[in-house]
Amino acid sequence: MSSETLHADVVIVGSGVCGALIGAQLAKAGKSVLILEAGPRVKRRDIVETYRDAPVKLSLANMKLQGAGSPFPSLPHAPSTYGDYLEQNGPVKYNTSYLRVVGGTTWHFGSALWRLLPSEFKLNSLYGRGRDWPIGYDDLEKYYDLAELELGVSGTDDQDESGAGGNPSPPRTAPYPMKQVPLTYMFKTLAEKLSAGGYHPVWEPHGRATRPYNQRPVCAGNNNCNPICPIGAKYDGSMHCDIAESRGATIIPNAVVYRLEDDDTGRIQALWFKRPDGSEHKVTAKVFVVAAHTIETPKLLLMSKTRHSPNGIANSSDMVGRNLMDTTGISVTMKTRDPMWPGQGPTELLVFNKREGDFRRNAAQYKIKVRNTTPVSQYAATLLEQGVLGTELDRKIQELSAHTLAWAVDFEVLPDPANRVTLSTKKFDALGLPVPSLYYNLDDYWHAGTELAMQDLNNFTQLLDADIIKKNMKFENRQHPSGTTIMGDNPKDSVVNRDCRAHDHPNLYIAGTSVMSASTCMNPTLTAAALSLRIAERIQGEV
Amino acid sequence: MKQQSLFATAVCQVSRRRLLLGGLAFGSMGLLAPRGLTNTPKASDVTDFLILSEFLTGRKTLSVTLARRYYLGLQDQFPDLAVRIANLSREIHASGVQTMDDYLSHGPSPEARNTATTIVSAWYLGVIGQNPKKQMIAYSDALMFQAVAGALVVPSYGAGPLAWGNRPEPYMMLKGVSDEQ
Repeated sequence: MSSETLHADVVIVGSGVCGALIGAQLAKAGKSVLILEAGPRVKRRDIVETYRDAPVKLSLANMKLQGAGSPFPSLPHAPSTYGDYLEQNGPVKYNTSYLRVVGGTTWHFGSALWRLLPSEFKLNSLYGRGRDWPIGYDDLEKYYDLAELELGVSGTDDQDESGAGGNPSPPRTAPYPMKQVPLTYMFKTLAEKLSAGGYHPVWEPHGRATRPYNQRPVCAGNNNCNPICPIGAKYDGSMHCDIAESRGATIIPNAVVYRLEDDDTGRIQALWFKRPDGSEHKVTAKVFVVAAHTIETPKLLLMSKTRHSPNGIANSSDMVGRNLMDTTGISVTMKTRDPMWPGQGPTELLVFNKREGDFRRNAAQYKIKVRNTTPVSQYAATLLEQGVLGTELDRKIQELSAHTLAWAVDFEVLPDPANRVTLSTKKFDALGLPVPSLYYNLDDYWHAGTELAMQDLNNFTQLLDADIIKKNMKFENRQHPSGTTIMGDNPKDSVVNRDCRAHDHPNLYIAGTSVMSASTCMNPTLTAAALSLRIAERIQGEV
Repeated sequence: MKQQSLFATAVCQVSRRRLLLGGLAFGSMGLLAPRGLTNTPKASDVTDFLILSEFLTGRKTLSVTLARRYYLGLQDQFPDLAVRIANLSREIHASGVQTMDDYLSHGPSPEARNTATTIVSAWYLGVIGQNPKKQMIAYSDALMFQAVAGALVVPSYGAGPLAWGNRPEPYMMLKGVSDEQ
């Protein structure tokens, strides 16, 4: 063990958007900040080069390729989830893909940055399902504002984001920091045709710059948001890592935190991390923040079994790792009579939301999105496998590219304590740390939601003069994990309180989507960012 | 008078190109006489491969550099490449067809069709072989992107700041692609 002990006012585990935001805010406030990241630093140009040189291109357009590779590194001490790192035990595979690099998973996120609606904080009191959050929309509104400024969100003002076509919602005190991107031909055409059938198009707020924003150039329609924006027009957590470091914070990459230690008063005293060479290092601090992702955060807490916390840190409730949620979805592929040409501009924008209504007593809310990822390589490969040659090959590539629509639906998943992250007893990484073991299943509420969404998609075929040519009802993971350190007022059934502070430890905060009390059907990053800015404010008053 | 086949015309065109490239000898489809395994094919092998590739893909201006790399890559994965190419070339020659489409309607033998698909797949996808031996040769120059150029960009090579919104029109106009609205 190393004799040298590092110390900081605040030590943060994880350099993704949440950890980096907190680190940047506290460094700006003059606090000494240390951020520990399990994975290495990466450079955008290297990832872009690796992507272009890869024989198999990872793309959200083809979920089957999710396991095939990623341009981001997979190292023995921080294995990539694109391999077989995660152990699956449940009836439904929870094959989420997160990145263990400086800057975290937002490197490859689509960059949807939604606020939740006021009603989404009160699922239980409004509809008798799931849990209420202990806080409401009003508690978060000013942090949503701030998060949108920090992350640089482009959006459409004055639309009803619930999807009901009513008054603007949720209520906002400030407009979006940047205007929306131009609509593509496909988006305009779909919005027009589906509006005729009573559907209300909603334009997604997202993290692509539409004017020069801080260090970011304007989105150039590279259609490569996942796995990497080649020009850094799209927000990612590395940008706040840069801010944090420029303001004096220290980031240590390749530092895998494996243990937190508490004392008999419940205060966290220290944490320990391992280097790739196996050496062990101790860090002390006044305040500890774990922002290590919804799967890795509970893994760390569960690994930290101490004399005072025999079930693991922050786990007197036995809720650490439980209530694993996602916005698990389905997908439908349609062939349209008219050309639509998905693939222009950035990879997503148009959605049809069904977020509010009494149906939520019986069925999951959902968001229907149309993928705008250039599908050319996928179709060309398929056609060649079928032996199509000659002019017919070019003709078919054009036809399939122009006329095929890939719809995907994301659903709310209720918190179920049986869905959980535990520690594998069989499989360990190169440092000897157990890999996350996942159990996941979906209930009738989720299935009822899929039936409603299929009715809408069938209506779409009428309105678009299209046929469904493929359906996948088999639980597509949407990479929107939440719930594993769930927030609540009752320390007996939740891990953190309304301030994201561990019930069991006064100087331990947990940042990330893992604190969310409800998954909703929406992308969770902006909510986690807003909560992180609120955490930073709390900590600033304490150290 | 029997019309001269386009394939034969292409051979003549390439023989001119060879002269321009520095007096390379004109091979008489030299692949008819396969040699043993080698990583340094004769320039004529590559040129013949280029002629064949231009016929198979219906393109007139394929890159010599890429042809060399595809040829080497395919040779690595298919030790009998030279024989397969020779057989395919002979069959095309014998059929007297002018275009790939004509050759396809003429009815290639299964082996010839298989070889043609292997070569066309390489040029279109920019990738050779199957997992785990997949090898990347070209990305933005993969021919599949030409079919939609003008309408869709090669991912990661965007059109420019906020440069989209008009109805996409591919440069390559093909009969039979529906064009309503």
